[in-house]
Amino acid sequence: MKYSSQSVAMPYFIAAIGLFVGQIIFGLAMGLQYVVGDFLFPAIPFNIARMVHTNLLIVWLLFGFMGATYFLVPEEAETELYSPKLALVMFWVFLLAGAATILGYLLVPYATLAEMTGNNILATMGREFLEQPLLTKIGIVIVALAFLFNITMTMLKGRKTVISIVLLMGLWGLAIFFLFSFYNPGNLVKDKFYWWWVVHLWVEGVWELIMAAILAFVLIKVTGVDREVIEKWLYVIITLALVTGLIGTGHHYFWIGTPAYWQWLGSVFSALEPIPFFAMTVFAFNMVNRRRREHPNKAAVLWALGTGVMAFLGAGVWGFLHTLAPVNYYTHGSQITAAHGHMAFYGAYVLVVLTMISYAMPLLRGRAANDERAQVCEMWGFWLMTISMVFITLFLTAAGILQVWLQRVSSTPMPFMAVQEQISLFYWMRLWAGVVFAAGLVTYLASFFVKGESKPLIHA
Amino acid sequence: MSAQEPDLLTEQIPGPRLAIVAEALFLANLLVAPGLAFLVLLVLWRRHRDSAPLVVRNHLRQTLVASIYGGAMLLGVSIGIFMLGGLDDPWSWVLGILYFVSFHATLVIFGVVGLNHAILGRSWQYPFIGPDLYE
Repeated sequence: MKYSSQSVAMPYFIAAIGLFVGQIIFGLAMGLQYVVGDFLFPAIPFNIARMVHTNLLIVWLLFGFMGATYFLVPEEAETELYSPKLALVMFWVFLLAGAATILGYLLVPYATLAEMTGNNILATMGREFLEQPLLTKIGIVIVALAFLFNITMTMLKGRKTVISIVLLMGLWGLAIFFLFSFYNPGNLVKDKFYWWWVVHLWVEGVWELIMAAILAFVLIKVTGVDREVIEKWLYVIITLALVTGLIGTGHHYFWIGTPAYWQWLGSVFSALEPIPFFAMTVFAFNMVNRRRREHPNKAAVLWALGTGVMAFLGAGVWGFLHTLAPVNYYTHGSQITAAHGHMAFYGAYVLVVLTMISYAMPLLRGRAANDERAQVCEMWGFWLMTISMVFITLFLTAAGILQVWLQRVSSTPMPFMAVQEQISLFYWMRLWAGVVFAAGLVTYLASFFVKGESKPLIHA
Repeated sequence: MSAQEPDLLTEQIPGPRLAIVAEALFLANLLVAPGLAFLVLLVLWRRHRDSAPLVVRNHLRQTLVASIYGGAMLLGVSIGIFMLGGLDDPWSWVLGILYFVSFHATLVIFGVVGLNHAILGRSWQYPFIGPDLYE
């Protein structure tokens, strides 16, 4: 660690991992509810478990992005963080607000929570992924503004690199597009139209900038490849991401009441959306293959390569699978969407945060890399989680194809719940794959506690 | 480092252009222009198979053979699944789509690795479907 203020990243990473564990626990509970419908009912019904599962994902990824930024920016800017104290205060504000929100979901009926938190003043709740109470949303904006102020001021007083500028663009975009979560028109079509400006323009827009910047930073560090080479790739990737992703929003506008031209725009541009992910895969492999010597942190290299491959498969291939309007006519909102969502989030964002944690955590703990045994344990965690996620995706895809056939293609279509009964075999298999994923996560966590000889930090 | 060896840490694309084109055509055949990209690859292979440097010859041959075997396995098994199961059986669609998507993605990942080796000026043998490398 070159700058002492980088250490503020540590609590962010720890919180991210802790919330990740919570997300997986609720994922398993839901996996079981798919096949044993009254499991945990009425204490934690499916809709609440799902809300906690997805909200925890978003929050822990945000913690991961912020931690990654606090580690990355001082090093790129070659200066201490503008205000480490502000970063720590905001950490606690965000953690407490996040924890209070999750407890609110679990302990108070959602309608009561809405009443208690001012939803009657400005109605923003009740929409998928944006279920947070108004107070929490305002809290997120305050934390985001303080965070951006801190990072922007740090960059202004230090060196400006392509990586940090791309990262900052992504983070500003993240904050700006979140503001659309406060806009909740009465017209359902308009509501959905702008809802996607948060959801899609985050994950298929500005988050890709954040991802590419973090990946580029780690690749420079673990490969020693010249910054100029990596920066040129970064330019290409973010251009491709924005050109395809912005109008690619149109693939969410099929069959929801928007004009028909969105079917063309959405199909064409989102068919191009795998290209930046493809470029990222080539980028990760290319940089790793260029290095002249092995970096002592082999685990971080593995996470980086995994990000490239899994993001391409999940976001690129599985996204393309159902993105063309004539295909989406049948597959819209089926388990195929769930398959894509799981692998894309894991491949693109979970893995890039874990890549950064894998690279930065040993440095934050005062060593260049962890002991060999700890790294082997960590890499076992990677493989268990990644392979099980591949199977979760395959089982959900199979469930989705069968669901589409029985419910929408067949000449004697079956009702939704009758179809769920028919595809329960795949839900069982998905559940067992989820259990293996949880085992992978436990293995990953255990790697932090494996003691041994660590590679000493060499100061230049 | 000798004068001939490229500096991989600083050079953007040190590998031979024709090898990169061959790998790009392998990927294009899978992703954007099936058939057409293969025909261009075939022409390049016929024209340069004896005269090009070793690394280029390896990439031309690997991509050509991998395209033929990979394409045959991709289409052959998919068609086989639908012929055996019938288009009216949902299980044909479950197996057929899963097989096609998974195998196709595997070929693309192979192609990405091949493209990287070409960019870096190194030979690479496609796993399972690639012929032995020229030494």
